[in-house]
Amino acid sequence: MRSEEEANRAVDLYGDTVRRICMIHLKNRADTEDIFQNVFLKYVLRTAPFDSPEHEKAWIIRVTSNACRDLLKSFFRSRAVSLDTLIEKPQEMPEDHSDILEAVLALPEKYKDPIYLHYYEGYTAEEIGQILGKNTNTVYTLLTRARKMLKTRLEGVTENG
Amino acid sequence: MDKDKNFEKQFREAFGQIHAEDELRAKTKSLLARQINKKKAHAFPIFRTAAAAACLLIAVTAGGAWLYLTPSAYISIDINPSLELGVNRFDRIVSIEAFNSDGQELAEQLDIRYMDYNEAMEELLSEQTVETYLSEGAVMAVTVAGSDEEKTDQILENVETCTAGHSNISCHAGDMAEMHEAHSEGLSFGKYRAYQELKALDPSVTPDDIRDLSMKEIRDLIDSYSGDDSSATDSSPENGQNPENGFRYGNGHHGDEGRNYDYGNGQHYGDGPGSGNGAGAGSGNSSGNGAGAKSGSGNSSGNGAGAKSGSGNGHGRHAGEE
Repeated sequence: MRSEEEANRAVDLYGDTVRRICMIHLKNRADTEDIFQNVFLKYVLRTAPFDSPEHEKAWIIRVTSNACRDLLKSFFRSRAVSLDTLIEKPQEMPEDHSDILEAVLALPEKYKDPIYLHYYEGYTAEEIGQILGKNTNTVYTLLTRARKMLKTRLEGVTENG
Repeated sequence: MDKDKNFEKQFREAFGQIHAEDELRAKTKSLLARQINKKKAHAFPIFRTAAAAACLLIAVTAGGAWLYLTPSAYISIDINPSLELGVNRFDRIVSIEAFNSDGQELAEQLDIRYMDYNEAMEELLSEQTVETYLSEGAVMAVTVAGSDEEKTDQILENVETCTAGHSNISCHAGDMAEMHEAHSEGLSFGKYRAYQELKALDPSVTPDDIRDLSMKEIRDLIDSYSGDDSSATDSSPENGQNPENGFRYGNGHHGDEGRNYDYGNGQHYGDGPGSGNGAGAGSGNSSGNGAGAKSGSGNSSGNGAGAKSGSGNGHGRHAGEE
């Protein structure tokens, strides 16, 4: 059990990262809040020390990614329709660069994390492989395909727009 | 490549706009704080439960020890060595107290603590020094006292069975009040009774005088005082033994129910239905000490016998009834 100060520091430091990963996977606000809180709760309950700040951050990313995947996979979710979907109330999106965000959101699930980690957080393919527990070459493949898909979509948007 | 750089820049900008909302952060922080404090609060009752359990354990242990170590009855043994054994409610010897130097010695030789009192009595009687005393014709008085009459009777019965093989052992029952008096005089119970008999005959006797006298010597003293008046009664302890009944001394001159004896003349002995040879509950003897299974004792000084536990001492007294 970590102290309250540690918990607050982690929320301040990693809040944005966690929030972004939630955003690319999840479609509604309630789920985002759920996952967000769960990730930090797990952090607080984890007693084993981290080797370095990088290790800590990687751990947070991995936990968030897994939590999102678990939620999407869950039986209840796969069978039930959320109220938010029914009343067509997607989470608010920033106005600027909405094309890029939408393009990322439209990617199949497995491409989202590598793309985000590579382009935004600046991790190399090797690091991404370590964080997500994937082979480095798999990550290269995922990145290449994702890039291709994004390009197609974005170019299509620009051409059409 | 330039295009890719441009894309990367745009990408960063796009995601850079996304932040964890302050509201979400605040909510999460307060939730975590609650969780952290709740966990701490959780740890506390476990601690408290452990403390409570420890207290209970101590209480039970202390209670058990108290139950075990508190004597509920006493067996006083007097030959010359004066010993008093405390018997707890589980029939075990829990205390051994010596009332004179001989007793101290004997107590050191004996290893009877925490033994069942029956075994302890056997052990005591087979002890070298005690055997020597007994074979030399010493008189041994065994007195049982306790707050619980039933228990006392039971112990007395068992002790009598134990000592049945010895002719010169007498067994009596007494009560706690008398015993406390005895202790305040610094005497064991058995000796205190003899002392009272003696005192009735010779008021100048003090407890210090008799503390180191053997029972036999005290008996002889009593006999020498009362020899004249009590010639009517048997003077030797050997007479009228009735080991099966636990009577050691003399012939009874008593009725079963504590008749009034007109001691001093002796001519009224044998009055009443119970008179005769120690038949009833009481017995009397010349040494001024009578023992009965449950009854009081009458002594040669003409004391009556009580039906159950009274004992009469002194001249011309009435015996107690119940």
